[in-house]
Amino acid sequence: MNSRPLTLNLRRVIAGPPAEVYRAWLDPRKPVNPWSVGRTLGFPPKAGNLYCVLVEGTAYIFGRVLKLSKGKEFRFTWMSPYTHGAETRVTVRFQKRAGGTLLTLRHTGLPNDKDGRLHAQGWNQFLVKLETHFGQKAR
Amino acid sequence: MDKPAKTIEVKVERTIPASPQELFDGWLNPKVPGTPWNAAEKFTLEAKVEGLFFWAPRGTSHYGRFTQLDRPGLIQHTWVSPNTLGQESVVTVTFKKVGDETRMTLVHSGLPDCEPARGHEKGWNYFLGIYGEQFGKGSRQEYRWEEAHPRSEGPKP
Repeated sequence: MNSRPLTLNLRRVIAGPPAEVYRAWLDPRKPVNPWSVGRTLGFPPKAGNLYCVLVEGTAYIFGRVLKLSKGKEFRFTWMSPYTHGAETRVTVRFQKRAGGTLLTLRHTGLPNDKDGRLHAQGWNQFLVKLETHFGQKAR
Repeated sequence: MDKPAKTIEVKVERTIPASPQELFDGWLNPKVPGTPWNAAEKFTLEAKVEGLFFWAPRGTSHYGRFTQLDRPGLIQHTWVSPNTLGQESVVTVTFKKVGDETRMTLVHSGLPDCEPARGHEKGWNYFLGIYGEQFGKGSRQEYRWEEAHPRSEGPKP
C-alpha cells in the first residue's frame, strides 16, 4: 500500500433542485445512497450523532455526522473494512446550477490501495442511481 | 479487501469484590477508571441495544454497537478499529456472583488473526486490572496511557 492517503473527488449535475437532491441523498428509503443498502442505525442524521449501516446483521460502515447544512452540505466520517478501520472523511456539497444541482463529493484519508480505490466505483454507482432517479422524475 | 480468514478470541477474567449490579453499572459509566470510555479524550456512548459508541484514545477511532444488555449479567457490543482492520468483532462481558464477589469475564471474539488484533489481550488485561482496583479495597489506580501501551505505536484495544 502506498503510505500517502488517497483522496477522491467526484462531481455530477443532477436534474433536481439542491433541497430535493439533498433530501434524496439522506433518505435510506431511496436506493440512491449508501444508507439504503442495509438497515441503518442513527438516521435521520443529526450533527454530532453516530450512524451505522448493517448488512445481513453485520456493520459494514460506521461513522459520525460532522456537519449538516440543509440543502447545502453533509459532512461525515466513514470507517469500514475497506478503509482497513481508518476513519476517513466525506464531504458532499449541493450547489444550484443550470440544469439542476452540482453535487460534489470529496472522500479523504482512504488507504492508497485496491480497497481505497474501490470507493470511487461505489460512490459512482450511487451517483448514477441518483442521476437516474431525478432524470426519470424530470421526464 | 484481503482479510485474514482465521479469527482469534481473547478471554480475560477477574474476580472483583463487588456485586454484579455494581460492576455492570460501573462498566457503562465513563467516570469509572478501567472502562474503555474513561480512557478516551473524546467519546460518545449510547448504552442501549442498537445504541452506538465512538471513542478515540490518542486520536485512534473505535466504533461499536450494543447488541445485548441484560442487567446485571451480560453486556455485549461490537468493536471496530484499525486494530481489527475495520472488521466488526464482538465483545461479551459477563458478571457472575461467586460468594461475596463477582467473576467478570470479557471475551473478545471475531478478531482477525494478525498482530494488531492480538494486542487486544494485553489491552483488556490492563483495563480490567484498573477496573478491579476501583472496588473493595483496591488502590483506585487511574488509567495511564503510557502504562497501557509501554512500547506500542497505537492504542489496543
